[in-house]
Amino acid sequence: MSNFKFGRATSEIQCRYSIGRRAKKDNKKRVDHKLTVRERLDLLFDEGTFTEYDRYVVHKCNDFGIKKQKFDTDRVVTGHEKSMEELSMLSHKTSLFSEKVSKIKSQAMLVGARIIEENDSGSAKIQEGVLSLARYAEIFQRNVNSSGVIPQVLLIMGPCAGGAVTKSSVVIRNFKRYQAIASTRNLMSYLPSSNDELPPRREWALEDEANQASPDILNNIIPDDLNKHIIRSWCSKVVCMMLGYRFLDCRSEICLCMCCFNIRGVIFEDVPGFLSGTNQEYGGIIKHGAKLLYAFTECTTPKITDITRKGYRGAFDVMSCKRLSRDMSYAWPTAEISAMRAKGVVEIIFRCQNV
Amino acid sequence: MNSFFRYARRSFSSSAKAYPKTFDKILIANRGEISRRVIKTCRKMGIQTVCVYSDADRHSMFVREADESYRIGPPPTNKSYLDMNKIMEVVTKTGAQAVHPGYGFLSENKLFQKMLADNDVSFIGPPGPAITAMGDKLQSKLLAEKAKVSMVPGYLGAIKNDKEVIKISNEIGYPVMIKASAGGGGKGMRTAYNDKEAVEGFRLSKQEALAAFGDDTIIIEKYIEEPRHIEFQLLGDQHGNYVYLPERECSVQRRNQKVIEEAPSMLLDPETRHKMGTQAVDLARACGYYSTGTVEFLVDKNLGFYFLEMNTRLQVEHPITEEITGVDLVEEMIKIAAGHPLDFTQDDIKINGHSIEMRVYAEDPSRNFLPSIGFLKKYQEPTKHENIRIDTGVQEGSEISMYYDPMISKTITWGQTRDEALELMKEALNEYVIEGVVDNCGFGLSICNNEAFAKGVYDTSFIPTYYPEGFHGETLTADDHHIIAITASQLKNIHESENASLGFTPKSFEKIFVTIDDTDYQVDVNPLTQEYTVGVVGEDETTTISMKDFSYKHNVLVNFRTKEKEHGRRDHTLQFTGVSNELDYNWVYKGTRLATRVYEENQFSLKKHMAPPKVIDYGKVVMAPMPGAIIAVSVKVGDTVEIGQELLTMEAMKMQNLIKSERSGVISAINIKEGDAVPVDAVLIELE
Repeated sequence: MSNFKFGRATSEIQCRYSIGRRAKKDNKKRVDHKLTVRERLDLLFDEGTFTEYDRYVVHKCNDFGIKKQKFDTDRVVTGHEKSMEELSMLSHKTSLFSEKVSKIKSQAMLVGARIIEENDSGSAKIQEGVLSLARYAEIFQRNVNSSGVIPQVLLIMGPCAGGAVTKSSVVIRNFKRYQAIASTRNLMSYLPSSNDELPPRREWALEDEANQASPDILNNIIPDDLNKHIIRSWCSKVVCMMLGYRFLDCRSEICLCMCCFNIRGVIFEDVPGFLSGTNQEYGGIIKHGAKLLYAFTECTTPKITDITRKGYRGAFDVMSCKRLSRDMSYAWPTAEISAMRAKGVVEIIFRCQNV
Repeated sequence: MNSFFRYARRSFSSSAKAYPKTFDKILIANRGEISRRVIKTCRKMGIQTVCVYSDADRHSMFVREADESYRIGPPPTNKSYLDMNKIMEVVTKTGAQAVHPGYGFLSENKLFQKMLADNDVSFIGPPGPAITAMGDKLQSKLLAEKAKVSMVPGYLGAIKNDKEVIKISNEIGYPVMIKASAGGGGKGMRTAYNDKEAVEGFRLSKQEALAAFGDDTIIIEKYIEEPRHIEFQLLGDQHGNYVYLPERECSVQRRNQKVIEEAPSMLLDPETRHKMGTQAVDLARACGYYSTGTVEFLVDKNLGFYFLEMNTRLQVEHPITEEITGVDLVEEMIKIAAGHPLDFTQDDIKINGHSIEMRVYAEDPSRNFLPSIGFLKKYQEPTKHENIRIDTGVQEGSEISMYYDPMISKTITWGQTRDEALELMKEALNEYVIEGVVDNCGFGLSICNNEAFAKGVYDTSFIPTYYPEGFHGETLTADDHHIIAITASQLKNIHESENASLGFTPKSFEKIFVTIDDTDYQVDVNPLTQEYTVGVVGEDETTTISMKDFSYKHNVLVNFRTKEKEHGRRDHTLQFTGVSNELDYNWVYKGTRLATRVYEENQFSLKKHMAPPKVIDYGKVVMAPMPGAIIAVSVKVGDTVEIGQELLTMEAMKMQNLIKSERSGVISAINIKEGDAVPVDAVLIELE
């Protein structure tokens, strides 16, 4: 079996690389504690399950002396996992050769397969000029078309700039590279191939232990320890322990994502209300709040709201409240539901009475 | 064993027994574990209970379990549990006929007693004059001497100057103990082996006593070497009947704070027991005592015993006495307070088996036993066993707050023999799952495994002798590492198969690498036979272990059985406390916390390219114990701080928390400023 191992199967092509240059590049990666694209693929996919596309493609640009800098794959690796319906994947190395990317994205849309994108790119080759921009537009078009149709996961594996950081549905932050890949594998077990399919279901043994509100409630709710991390990073966007316009955006997106891919949602609410003030006004609190409200109202998948602590003011409404298309609402013993903070209410209603 | 008493062992429920009329409603002026303990007996006796609570205890178990609960104020004790007026208000409002004070708080407060008496409410405890008499060390000594209780040779009188110190010390004979008459808890106490030390100790104790108690009366007595702390539980009714219950041995102490207690003592013979018990009763009789009380003795290795002091309350460690005698002490207290006579005599009291209690605290044995506050993110009591009794006031999700004693529970085991009780205790501590705060289960486990302790040969210097630097976790052997490595492999494969529901085929790794304490172990798994071959990477030597009956409960407890050439069959218990960053598997094994990293083959081969992990020296940083906002920073960069010095104030969960320094040093960096919101575990201040 080991002969089919990804890295070795491609060794013949690797021989055609300019050895010296490659070694230099790889050394740089080592200093930065980065992995090469091949190593990353080995981590992501099981042995012998990855089929590469367009291995021998090189760029066609002849200007500014980059004619001589032609490499097989052009430092973009694309391909699919064993069974086509399961997964498509692409992996950028340092620059983008967008045709390959567009191709795999169209393919994924066509068959309804999830996309995992790994990105470690300094954006377009400026030597290619306007052509590179055109190619980018093609990618963007496909990103938008497939948004909400197939799950797209983007891993930022190194410093990325410009158009390379195109927006996908889920962005995994880069904690430690092989851990990021491990959590991607993990995340994939929660997502369906496309919006036509149901997400994978698994028996979960929930423990019925009484829990009081604590900052770590999620630890106790999410049943499987190993899966905690990803789910948590998902949930933590839904749960708003802190409220500011910055987080609203994430929440609307998660909510839309839930709706698109038939994912059920449990919402933990602990929201002291939008913090009125110029700061949040400038940040677009109304606009983003409306987005979230829209997302929750529009979302048709099952939703359960647990109010763990504060559910104040407009934020109470927005966070999938009882009368906003939720299926169930629960208030924990520690819940405080109010139009305003008690102190503020007293200060207003009894303002002349010196209380 | 007398069948009359058997009903009460292990469970306090006795449906068959009829209780004499006592009270209809009792108010419990305490909190946590002891409130629950009193409620339990009240339930049994058909008495209604009223609890009082502070804001911090709003969601506590005892509040929910009581028939009625009333808020009495904010968390600080002087504004709630020590506020007699507020408690009295609740008594009047609810019509409670009696008050059980528990231990601590108002249990030995004569003003409170007087207030209750004035309002015609019974106090479930000893009479006021007896508390006053026994509360003062000097007065209690005089009383004890009158009652012909065996005393530590010493000078019962206030000492005025250096000359007198030297004279009296020489009369008694060195070593001597110099201590404050009003003292307690080790404050104002000094040992002296010669004249110079005696004079020095006298001066220091005097200063300390004045500062701590406002009273600088100093007494001197003989210092007993290799002393054991043995105490007798007394019961007396208001009609002059007294019995003593078999003794508790409380020598495992750190700074006069008991850690493990057992009953009966391994040291005493029936004759000494009788002598000591009789003297304890004599003392109680002399001061007109009734209800429960405890007479503490120091016993030297020749079975010479000396009166130490008398505690005029129900004690924390009372359950072990209940376990071996079958007497429900709270029930007796209530009956006595209602004026009933004792319905058994000294002859009815027999010792049945052996009982051990471990006080499980939220404290860090490696950091000077500093209390650890926070939420119990995971809390799983040891598997139910009829001979394990857990007296606790907390449950999963509860908070251990800074306002009160950080006790989590009292874990009590009982066995026909001491060995049986001890084995059960080890099992219980091994299975005790506590996450969120640092606990002392590992420390307790280590004590139980100590040879001297196992033999029962120890004295009050046990902890200073065996743990002079505190407890920093057990050093795990290569064999322990092997067990962890194979467990990690097994779990990794379980997790992998769970993850692979889509996209990736379920995998069962046959080669797994586990890094424990910078040593890489390779585990070869044979999935068919469940045999694991473990060896250090790069070395030829391997061990083959076969695993059986693997179970994984509550997402934490891992149990299995192994068979090895070297050790034969063995049972193992590990706590798996979760995965962080996908690869870090965290464990509690043999009471020691450790983190391991688990790799599959691919990951392991790439490990060398990864950035080395950042090492944080937790001893040198101050981290946020919970998420919250910084209210005030009391230090600045370059300041020299001492242990316990206030560093900053943090507001979290509506409470202001003082963050204190856990070590002394110079502040090298402050990463926060006033008004900052910080997440849990954020590094706030760094020390050099």
